This record gives sequence, structure tokens and C-alpha cells, in this order.
Amino acid sequence: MVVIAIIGILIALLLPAVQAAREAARRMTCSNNLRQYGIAAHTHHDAYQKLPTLEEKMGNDSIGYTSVGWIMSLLPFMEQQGITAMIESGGTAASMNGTTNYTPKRPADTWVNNYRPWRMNFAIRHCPSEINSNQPVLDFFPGTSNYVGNIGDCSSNWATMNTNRLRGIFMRGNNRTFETIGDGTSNTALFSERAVAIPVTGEQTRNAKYALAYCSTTGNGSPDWIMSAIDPANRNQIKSTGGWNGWAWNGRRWCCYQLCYSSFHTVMSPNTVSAILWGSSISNSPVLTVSSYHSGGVNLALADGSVRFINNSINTGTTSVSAWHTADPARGVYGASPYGVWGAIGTIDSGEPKGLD
Amino acid sequence: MKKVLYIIIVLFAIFAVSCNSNQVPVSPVSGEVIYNGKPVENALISFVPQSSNGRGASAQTESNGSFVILTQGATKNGAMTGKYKVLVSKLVEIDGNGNEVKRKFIEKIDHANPNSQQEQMYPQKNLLPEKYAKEETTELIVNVEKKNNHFKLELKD
Repeated sequence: MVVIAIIGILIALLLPAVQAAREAARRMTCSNNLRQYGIAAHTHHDAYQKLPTLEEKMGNDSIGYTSVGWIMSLLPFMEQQGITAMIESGGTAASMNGTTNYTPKRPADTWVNNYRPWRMNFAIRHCPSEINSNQPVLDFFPGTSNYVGNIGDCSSNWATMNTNRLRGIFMRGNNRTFETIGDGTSNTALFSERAVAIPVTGEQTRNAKYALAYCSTTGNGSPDWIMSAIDPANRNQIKSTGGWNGWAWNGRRWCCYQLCYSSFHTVMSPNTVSAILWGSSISNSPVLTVSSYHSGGVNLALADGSVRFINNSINTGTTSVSAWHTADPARGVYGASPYGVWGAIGTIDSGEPKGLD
Repeated sequence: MKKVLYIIIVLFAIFAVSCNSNQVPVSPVSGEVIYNGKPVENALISFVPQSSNGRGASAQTESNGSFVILTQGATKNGAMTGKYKVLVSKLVEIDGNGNEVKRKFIEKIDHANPNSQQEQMYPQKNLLPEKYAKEETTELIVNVEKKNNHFKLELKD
């Protein structure tokens, strides 16, 4: 009897260790995925002498262009030429219903569910720890993905994506090259991960890990303000007072260039919350935060292609300074980041060759 | 038999200790904001650390003026111990007639045309005295200790 009890206790002690080992394996797979993205970016740089932009254009002058995300330019470099080929040939074969005739070479808008290339799935788009990767397709959200590109420590307007204040790797309209990364490729973030959002009603959710919190009163765009969206009574949730609510958009449109689908800021520490003051054009600037289901942090690929684990407790510097591009003009394009080590690895050339160690 | 029990207890102790991971140590901080004798709703509170290894912490007040402070990267509510300057502000947007703009709750946006969703831009106004919004001028200084902290922040014109 005693022996059975002891064995029982020993197994109880061992079980969490087994779970931890399983999660460690998933984290390593995720880290390998990010390495694939890093290698694809380097191969793209070898082929074209530049990195992709935040908003890539597919098409040509006679048929026009469709804006797509950086990931579409990396597909040929990560064994996904099939999707690119389907866009090239177009026609009814590129539709889900078999009848819509799509223009060859120019893809449909990124929110069109009937466009077959947007419905294609491939393994390295998802972190194996992600619990929401196999969700039904919703209107305007053809497919999910976990991996996002670094746009620095300064938040820009949602729609116009004001280019001169994107201080990270990805810009709109201009391609970065490795030469422009003055702080060093081993000190600058390239890709990281964010949990996929699941709506509860309509397009809303209050889950802090993946919601884009929005405030219907007002705020100053500082990390302190964004942090105040979290409910102290349940830190996994956005609070229901103070005019706060949350959108379930993050990670739901893998092919899209718009900020909440394609990119992240090094402003808030990992696994806190993303936020926007929706409505007025100038403050219509999301701060997008990395998140994952790994224990205590997220994986991040640096521009040199190496992958590191970022702890939730990473130093985030002065949290009372606004991240909106209008609020802190002194930061400019090359000013130092106020957000500590985390902000420094997000900016490409701010005289901060600060590494993660 | 007792020996086995001791071994199990020691194993469990080692296991419990090894679970302690990389965390930001915080002490609970709550309080309320009073302006001219009345509680302030939806005010933003920033705790600005006065030591180089401190971390900023923040909260938004509830309708009765109460707040609970949170720190990024911490797994519990609270702030790190140490001295802080406290910033308090309540921003609203003001239209041409000086009235507060109330934004409507947005059920669903037009994804095919996101630009059409943008509303007019209004200037922001702080409804609390401006001196409490800047680190240089705020008179509110608190010391967070290793206990349950409670701060009554009284603002005056």
C-alpha cells in the first residue's frame, strides 16, 4: 500500500517535468521556424540585395498592383513556390468556388476568402505551442500565422503607415539592406511571434494575449497607458471599465501588409497586451506586442539569423513616454529608444549597439 | 519507512525551489485619486522610478477613484520596491465647441476600406492640473515598501 503511494507521489512529481519537456520541444520547433524565416530573409537579400518591405506589391503596371505582406516575398525562399505559382497563373483554379476568374499575376485583396492562395496552409506559419492555429475561416480572415516582422519602437498611423517613423527593419515603400542596420545585425530584431486571436462575439475578444485593445475614451500612447488596459482582477483579460474593449484581429490574415497582421513593436514587454486608440487619424496608431504560449517569454529572430528567447521580464526602459510618432518628435529616425534593452534591439540605427546579454 | 518519507520531502523541496524562474519582484500597490475632494474616474497613473534599476508601473482609476498598480513583466499585481514620482492625468478629446468627444463602440469595421473608418482628429485636453502630468513638476512622491501599499493621491489646483 505504502509502496503504491510512494510510486504515486513520484509519478506526480515527474508529470510536470514531462509536460515541461514537451513544451521545451515545441519551443525548439518554433525557434527552428523563426530560423527558417531568418534564412529566407538572408537569401532574399542575396538575390535582390535588399530585404522585403512591410507592404510588397504584386502585379504589373498594366493590370495594377495588390498590396501584400513581407511574407509573400519570402515564400520562394522557404519552399512555398506553389503558392506563388498559383498567383502567377490565376484563373478559376485560384478560386475556392471554382467559378471566380482571377487575374493572373495580380492577387486578390488579402481579405478575400474565395482566393485559394490565401487559403493555403504550410507548417512553418504556426508556432507548435499555438492553440488556435486550426480555427474556422472567418469573413475577411482567410488564414492565420504567428510570425511577425520588426517595425521598431515607434507607432505609426494604421492606414498610412507613416514611413519615416518606422524605426525597425520593415518600412513601407523603402527596402532596408543589412548595411543600413547600424547597430549591428546581432543587436537588431528581425522576426518574432504573436498568438493568433479568436473572437468571442463578432470581432471582439478580451483575451490580453492576443487582443488588440482599444480605448473609446482617450490616452497618451505610453506603455503605462497600454498596461492600464489589463484587468488587475484577471491579468489575462482586458478590463471592462475605462472604455476598454478588444479586437480579435491579430494574426488572422497571414498574407496581409496591415500592421496588426504583419508586424510587432519593441515597446511593451512580451505577453502583456497590444493597444490602439481607434478613431482619430493621428492617434490611430497600434502598439503591437509579441506573445506566445511558451512559458515566460517569446522566441525572436535577430537580423543575423540567430534565434533567442526573450523573457517577459526584459528591461523596457521609460514606460511613461508615448510610443505614438506624433508624441515624441525628438526621437526622430535615429534617436535613442526610451524603451531600454527591448527598444534598443528593435531600432536599426540609434547608436545603441546593445545586445541581449 | 521514515527514510523514504524524508527523501520524498527533500525531492519535493528541490522541485519547488527549481520552479522559481526569472521574474520581476513586486509588492502590491493600490490607492485612490482625489481631486478637489472628489474621486477621479479614468485617470492614468504612472509610477516613474527614481532609481536606475527600477521599473515603471501604471494603472487607470475606476469610477470610485480607486486603482491597482501593474508592472510589465511581473506575474503579480504591484510595483517594485523603491521611490517613485507619480504622474496623474486625465486626457479627453475636445471638439470645436469645447465639448468632450465620446467615441462610439465599434462593432465591426469595413475591412475592405479601413481608411473610411477614421474619424476626425480632435485636440487632447488634460482635465487635471498640468503639474501632475510631468515628472519635473509633480509633487506626488511615493515609496513602495515590501508590504501591502496603499496611497491616497490628493490633487489640488
